[in-house]
Formats: sequence, structure tokens, C-alpha cells
Amino acid sequence: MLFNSYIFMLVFLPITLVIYFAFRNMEKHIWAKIWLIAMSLWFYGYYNPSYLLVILSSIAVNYACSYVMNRSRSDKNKRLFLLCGILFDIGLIFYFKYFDFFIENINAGFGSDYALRNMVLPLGISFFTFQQISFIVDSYRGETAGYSLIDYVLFVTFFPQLIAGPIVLHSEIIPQFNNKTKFQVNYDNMAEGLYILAVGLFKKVLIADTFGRVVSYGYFSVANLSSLEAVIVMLSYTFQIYFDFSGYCDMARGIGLLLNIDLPVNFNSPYKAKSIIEFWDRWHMTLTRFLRTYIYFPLGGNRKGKIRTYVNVMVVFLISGLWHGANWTFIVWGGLHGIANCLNKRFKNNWDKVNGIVQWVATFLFVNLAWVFFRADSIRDAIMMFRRMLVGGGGISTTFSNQIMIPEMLFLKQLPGFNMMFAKIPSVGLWFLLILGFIGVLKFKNCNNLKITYTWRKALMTGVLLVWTIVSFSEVSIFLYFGF
Amino acid sequence: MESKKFVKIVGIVTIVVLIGCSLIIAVIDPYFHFHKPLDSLAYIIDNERYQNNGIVRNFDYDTIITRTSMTENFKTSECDSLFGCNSIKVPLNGAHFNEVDRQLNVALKLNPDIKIVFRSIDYSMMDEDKDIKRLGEENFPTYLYDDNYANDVNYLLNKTILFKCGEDILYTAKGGTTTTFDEYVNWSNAYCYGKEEVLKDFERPVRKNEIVELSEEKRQMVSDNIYQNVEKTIEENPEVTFYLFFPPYSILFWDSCNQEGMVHYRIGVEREVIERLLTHENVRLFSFTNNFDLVCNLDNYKDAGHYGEWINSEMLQWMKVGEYELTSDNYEDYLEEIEDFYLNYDYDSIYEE
Repeated sequence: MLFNSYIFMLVFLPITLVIYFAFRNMEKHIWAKIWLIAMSLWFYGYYNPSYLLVILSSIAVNYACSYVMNRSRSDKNKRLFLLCGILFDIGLIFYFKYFDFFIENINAGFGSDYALRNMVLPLGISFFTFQQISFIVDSYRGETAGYSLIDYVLFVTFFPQLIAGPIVLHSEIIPQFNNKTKFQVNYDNMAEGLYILAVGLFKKVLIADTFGRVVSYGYFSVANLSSLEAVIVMLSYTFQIYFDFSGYCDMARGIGLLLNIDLPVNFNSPYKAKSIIEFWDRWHMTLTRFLRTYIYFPLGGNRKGKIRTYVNVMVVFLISGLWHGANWTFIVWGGLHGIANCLNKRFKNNWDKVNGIVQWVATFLFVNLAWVFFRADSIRDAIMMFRRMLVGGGGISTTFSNQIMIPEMLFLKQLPGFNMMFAKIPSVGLWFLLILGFIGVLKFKNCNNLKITYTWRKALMTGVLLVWTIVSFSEVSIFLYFGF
Repeated sequence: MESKKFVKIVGIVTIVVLIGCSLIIAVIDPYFHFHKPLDSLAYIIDNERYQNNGIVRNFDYDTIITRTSMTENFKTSECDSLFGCNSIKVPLNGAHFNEVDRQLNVALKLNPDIKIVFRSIDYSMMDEDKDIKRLGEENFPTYLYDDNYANDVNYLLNKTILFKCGEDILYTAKGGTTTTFDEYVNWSNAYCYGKEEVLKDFERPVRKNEIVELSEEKRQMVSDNIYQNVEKTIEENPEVTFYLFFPPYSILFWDSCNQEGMVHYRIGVEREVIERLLTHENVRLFSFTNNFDLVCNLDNYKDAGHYGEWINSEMLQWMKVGEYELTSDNYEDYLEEIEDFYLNYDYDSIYEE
């Protein structure tokens, strides 16, 4: 299921909340948790029930390993089950996510012809894999004794964070499920939760998805883009992924709050960053935390000399790249960030002396360019996009600028003052959106440390945002095909 | 304000506005999903895949004109006065045989009054797979076509459709009238016609020195396509008269065929179709492909296949009086005539000034 769908907003969310708090009220706490688990499984298996087999077997194996480790006294035994658990998790994600990529490369490298399996990728497998690996490692360290099976299952399947994070640590969420003060409906949390959810939905459905149209159009026929168009496509993706991910993190946090659960902050205005190191402290913070805790530090971090530090950094970023997707483009993206990170570490003192605006421009520019690899379907397309930026020539075609003509824009275009503007500058809507993008990522406060004031204005605004996004869930396509 | 009040306000505002939106859309119903157009409102009708289904289910009519862009320029007013009927026009541009047949079947099942169906048999689609899917089909509004009320939420809570309601209201206020079927998706006046216009975007295929034969496999494909997507409906509705016609593509279409050695093939496909269709008593079959004056006069066309509305008008008149009708007695002569003409025509003369 998706947050931005009728069934989630109008059916799933209300029922989940009502029955959850009803159980809590009746002091039936086990039932409250089971209810959340059941709803989370419905959420997860909605589009494809066979996903449930994957996640449930993964949970079973991981819990079993952790159970044994918690009761074992032999270090050797613990290590064995630690290894089993991690291998299983990696094996599972390898099979579903990376098998075809692996085979394609073998075929390309050795001229062989092994068949691809075209597995359907279970949603969120990257997230619940990392989440469970962290649990297994912490079990090895003796930090997870005392959690029941129900607590564990809820921890992994909890629907606000199941599909796209944040990557939650057991210690930050399981105690919350057992915290008495959270069992009653808390209107402060509800109010904040509703507000953040509304803002998150708006960012995703109205802003990110609108930029997405320009991006899809651009990457569909890279070779035909003009220079300006290529630059706009690059910028548009930079904004699309920002508002998409930021929106999603907001929605997850907001929904968590409705249930009185505090999910960790995952996003902190990352485009305000003035260095790559700072960027990764603001972008997908729980991923950075996971990589640091479970890969970087175990590898030695920066405690084994300069060269080893850089190697460790590269390993972390290459894994991060690969984790995002099974394609060389992701690996290149990860590698680029790794190199930038190493350079940032090496020249930190010099960098800190550079003018703040220059720092920002350089960081933002780098992030933009790296995103091209992240989004492109192939390395060739990414390079072609860069080429087009240099040699594409000027101008913006009408079809290009018409990509952002969502119904609101079409409506604006018909109004008296605006139609003249559109007539004079056909791409004015596009520029408007880009400017809005910059303001959004640089100026606005994020939803993290909100102290929301309860006023009529805010309440109405929240309602308007909710309604506006809900009626945007469905589009009307215009069929432009004109055949014989 | 207390947070509890805040939550209440948000909840109430959201629910009230959403219900309001659904009511507006349900009452105005710009896609006729629930009911006929309201008498007090003027509706803009311009979106085939979204509005045809509603038209077919809720309007009053006893005659249907359908198919592709080949039929979009028909005028129902002319049809009504010639045939003494009450017709609607519900074309689907770019549709394959199966999509049109689906729509036709909905109409025939729901409306027992239907007595005539006008439908073109387009040359370019006769030999397609019977279950072919159209590009962009994943965006198809299935919720308008099925009997599932739950997914109507896609219609009732839809911003674009809400805007359409606003458009229709504004349109009414400015004194507009509901789009007539003469006007509906009629693009005739939007284009220029004539040789220069047609040749502008036409790419003459390179001459191939081969003759393409109609293979048994292809013949079977044609046969399956015609049976599943045309004949079955004819058989199941013996009380309805089906006026079927081969639309007159321009001489440039035949030039392309000739360049690629496909004339013989196309006529073979046409033979297969004619022979099948003529076995039905409730079919009146027509072809204007042997109206060589029409076909060779590029002033009638805006591109290699699309003719202006005056041709549609003429076709209606010919069909009324039975001119250009194909019967089991004359179709062999007809096929011989067109094969002879289109194989031997001096196509190069088209390109000379």
C-alpha cells in the first residue's frame, strides 16, 4: 500500500487508529500490538501477498538466531548464529535484488548466457534487511534480551517505517510500544502528527511528483535535450528526490506521532549543507547512522591510519550505492560521494576557511551532478546528459515546459492576469516551480523541531493540504494517440 | 487553542470538504458516470475514453456511430435525418478492434433500443492480434467501466474532474451549449487540406522489389481478429443492422503499400474480411476504396489517411442509397478492380509538380 492513496488515507489509517486506541483503552495491550502487526502486514502485502512470505520468513530466521544468541553462553555459538543471521539476510536481499545484476555482469564479462530470473523485488527489503542486521548484531552484543516475539515482529513490520525507513533501532522503538504514558490518545501528538502528515503528503504528491514529470520526460529521450533543458532536468531531479524523500520521512513521522510513537528524524534540510560530510549528516540520517555503526566502526573507522580510513570510507559509500539499487549507476554515485567524502576529510581545514557561499555552491553543485548518475538508467545515459548540458544548444521546447502543466497550472493559465504571463513566457510555470524548489529547500524550516501553534489558520491550512493532496491521488490522462 | 480542538477542526474541515467535493462531482457528473447531463447545465464533451462510456450508458439513442478517427467527423444530425434515427457518436481515436468492440458490447447489453451501428473497418488494423493492447493502456480509467462502486472514489475525489465541473459551470454562465455530437471530437476544421499539406509530413518508403504474400499465419490472425472483435457481436445481436465500411485512405497510403510490395497482401486481408462479414444477414458492407476520384484527390485529405468531414457526409449518403455496397455477387469484381488500379497506378506522378 502507499501512504498517498485513497485506501490508506480514508480507510486504513482511520481504522488502524480507532481500533488500536480502543485496545489500549481496554488494557488489552497484546491485542493492540497484534492489531498493529496485522494492519502492517495488510499494508505490506496489499499489492502482492507473496511479499508476506518473504518478510515473515526473514523475521522467523532472524528472531530464531537472536533467540539462540540470547540464551547461549558460548561465544563460539553466538558467533556462529551471528554469522548465520547476517549471511541469511544478505543472501535473501542478494537473491531478490542483486541476482539478475550479478548474472548480467557475469554474462557480459564471460560471454556466457545464464538466464535472468526477473524476480519481483519485495518492497522495502533493503530496509528491513538492514534493520534486522542491526538487531542481530546487537543481540550478539547482548543488548536485546527481554524482547518478546510480538515486540520483535512489530519492530520489523511497523508500517510507518516498513517500506522506506527510517531505519529504526530496536532501542528507540520497542520501549515505546511498552511505555504506559503512550497508551492514551495524546492530542498534542495527534495535532503535530496531522500537520506533519499533511505537509509530507503535499511535498510528495504536489511538488515531487510534478518535478517528476519533467524528469521522466527528460530521461526518456536524453539525446534530444537542449543544454538548458538538460540543466533543468538535473535540477528537477535534485528537487524531486528531495521532496519525495523529505515528504516520505514527514509522513512516516507524522503517522508515528498519531500512534504516539516517535520515529527518529531522518532528514534535516540537507541542501543547506556546506560540505559533503555535513550533507550525509542531514540526508537519510538513519542510513548514515547504520553504515557508521555497523560497517565503518567495525572496519576500524579512522583508528587504523589515514589510508585505512579512506579505504573504509570508500567501502561504506560503495555499499551505500549498491544498497540503493542494483545498477552500476548507483555504484558510481556511491563511489563519487565516497571520493568527495575522502577529499573533504583530507582537506577539512582548508575547506573550513573557504567562503560560506562558495562552500554551499560547490556542495550543491556536486550533489546535483552525482544525482544524475543516481537517476539515469545507465552510465551511458548519465554521460549523455552531461554532454547535452555542454553541447545541446539553447531554448526550451514547448512540450518540455508543458510537462509541469498540472491541473492547477492549467487553471491558473486561464485566469486574467496569468494568461498574459503564460503567453509572453511559455515556460513561466516551469521557472516558478524551480524557484519554489529553491525556496523550499533553503528557506523553510523543516518539520523536525516543530513547536506548532494551535491556531485556526494552521488548522485550516492542515485541512486544506490534506484535502488538496487527497483529491490529487487520481489523474485524468489525455490520450494523445492519433492513429489510423 | 487546545490541541484537541485543533485536531477536531482539521478532521471536520477535511471530512466536510471531501464530502462536498464528492457531492459536486456526483451531481454535475461531467463524465456521465451516474446520470445523463443535467438540463440546467451545458457540458463540454471532449474526452473520448472518459466520457464515451457514460454517454453509452446514460444517453437516449437508438443508433451508434463508432470506431476511430475515421469516424470522428461524422455528423449525427445528418445521420438522423437520412436514416430516421436518434444517433450518438462515440469514436475512440487510435483504438484497436477489441477496444471498440468492448464499448459496443456495453451499449448493446444496456440499451435494447439500438437498431443501427455504424463502424469503420480500418485497413491498418485488420491484421492485428485480436488481443492487442494500446500504448498507454495502463492509464485507462477502469473505474469508470467496471461495476465496482468502491473505486468510484477515483472519480468523486478527483481534482481534475472537480476543475472540469468548474469549467462546465463557467461555460454555462458564458452562454455555452452542450457539445453536440456533430461537434464532438470533430477535428475537420482544425486542419488544412490538399497536396502540399499531405506531402509535408509524408515519408515515402524506399522501394522494395518484392511482393509480400498473405501467409496462412497472418490469415488466421485476421480471421481471429474479425471473429472475436467484430463478428461475435454481430451474431449476438441479430436485430441490429451493422453498417460496416472500409474507409477511403488516400492514394498515398496505397503508394506506401506499393513501395513495400504490400498491395497484394492488403487486398488479400480485405478479401478475408469481406468473405467473413458477408455471411451475416444483418450486415451492410461498403467500401469507398474504388471511388478513385475521391482517393486520388488529395484536396480531400489532411494526411495520408485522414479525410475531411465532407467525405463523412458523402459516405452517409452513399450508405443510405446503397451505393458502393459490397455483396456476395460483386465483391470479387470489386477486389479485382482495386488490385488492378492500385498495382498499376502512376504513383510517381503524385510527386511531380
